Amino acid sequence: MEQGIANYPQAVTVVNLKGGVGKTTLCVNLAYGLAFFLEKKVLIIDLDPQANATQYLLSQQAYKKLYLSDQASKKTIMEVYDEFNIADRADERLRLAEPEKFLQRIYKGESGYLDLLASKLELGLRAFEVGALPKYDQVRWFIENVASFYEMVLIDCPPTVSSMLIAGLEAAQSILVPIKPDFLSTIGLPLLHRTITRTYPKYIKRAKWLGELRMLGLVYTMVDHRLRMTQHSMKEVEEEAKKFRYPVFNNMISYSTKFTWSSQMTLPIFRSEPSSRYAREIENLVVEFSARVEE
Amino acid sequence: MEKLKVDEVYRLLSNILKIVADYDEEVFEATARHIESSLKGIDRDALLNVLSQLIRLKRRPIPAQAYEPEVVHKRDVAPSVTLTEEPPKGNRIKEPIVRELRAILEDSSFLESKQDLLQIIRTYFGGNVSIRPDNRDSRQDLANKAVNAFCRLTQAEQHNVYSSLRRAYLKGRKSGLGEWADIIANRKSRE
Repeated sequence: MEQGIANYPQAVTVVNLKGGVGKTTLCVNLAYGLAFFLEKKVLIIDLDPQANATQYLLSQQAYKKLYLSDQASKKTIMEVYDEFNIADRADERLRLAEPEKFLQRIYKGESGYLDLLASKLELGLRAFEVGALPKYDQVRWFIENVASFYEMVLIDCPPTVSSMLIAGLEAAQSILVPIKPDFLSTIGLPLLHRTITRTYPKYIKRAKWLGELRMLGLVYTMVDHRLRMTQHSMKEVEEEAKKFRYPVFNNMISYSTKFTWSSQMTLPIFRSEPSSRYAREIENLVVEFSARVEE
Repeated sequence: MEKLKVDEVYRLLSNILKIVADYDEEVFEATARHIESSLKGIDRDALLNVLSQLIRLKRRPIPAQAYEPEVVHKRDVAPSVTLTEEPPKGNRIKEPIVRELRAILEDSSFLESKQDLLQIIRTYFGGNVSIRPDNRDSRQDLANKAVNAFCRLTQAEQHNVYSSLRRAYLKGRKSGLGEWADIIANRKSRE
């Protein structure tokens, strides 16, 4: 029987099957905020082939130097999959050699820090590999190998049902759902519910030691309070959330172009605009998130 | 007419408060001694009364620094979620700036080597930071010393150091579509 490890960190998968809802922005700012405001030791895993979380946190020069140049010293999630394939062939699955090579320090505080496991575009091509039976515990295997370094792991998943999404669900104890309060975005909610309650359990044998997948809650993102549609959509979301028994976070993230500017500066909003109300919103959300995870 | 008189009295009171701000406590005490010795009766009592309140005003705690325009509101949290908030350490407003300063000093993409950090320390803090000989301070030690030196500066000095460092820090940080497009398309660099 599969045995887990005692110090497996709190892993949360951030997912919504609707794109453009601010998932990566939320994931990045939340992960960074946990390290910055609460001095947690945090890992963010970019599981999205679009690599937006990686682009948010690293400049193109840094990415080239670390991952692509002849002197490249770091490896991405792609190489995790490669290493897993090798490790999995052994009778007893091998440990990951040199896990530090996969971890890029993004921020260092007094005691907390944020590291990144970067993504690569080619990750999407994994879906077309034929031959071996598909496996979905690559990400969990990676986290097991670096567990002693972290208290929390946030996984940024692609907005489609894919092997990467499944790997993200396999690795986490809970999921967090960013939701933009507009009509089309909110339709993603019942779709996600169906995926995690019917599709996922039907096809995947989740590791028992990880426990049942828990819905941490819904977080409103890109909220424009000026619009009447916002209040209307929130009401509809809350009715659906009640049916599914999904908690809804009290804190939310307002819409602002400042987030776009912050991603261009490869900084979270509370560092690019430390005096802004958006910085306060993230800080408040970080505190609420941390409390809910520990419940 | 009454409004004019109210305005005049209000202006007089404001001027008195300005005097409280401008003069040392010793001046008020000397004035009190003068009044005690030269006046009698109700005038003496009234003026001494006023002076004692002014001295009390003078002795009040220094008001907090001006808050930033966006006031931190009480966090709106559901009753079921228990938060343990640590009391603010020192000046609450300075905390974000100190945190940001530390983040800048510890960012190896900005200060690539320990030498770069040492250069910053010498430029901005000069002799206020004691460096161990033979390069024995770790990078973290240096950052801690710099942050401590920053906290000892006056408000105006802190503002100058912080603004200057932050300007330098943000200068090189701008990702562009062009180079990312090259990476994604696997093209040779445009440089």
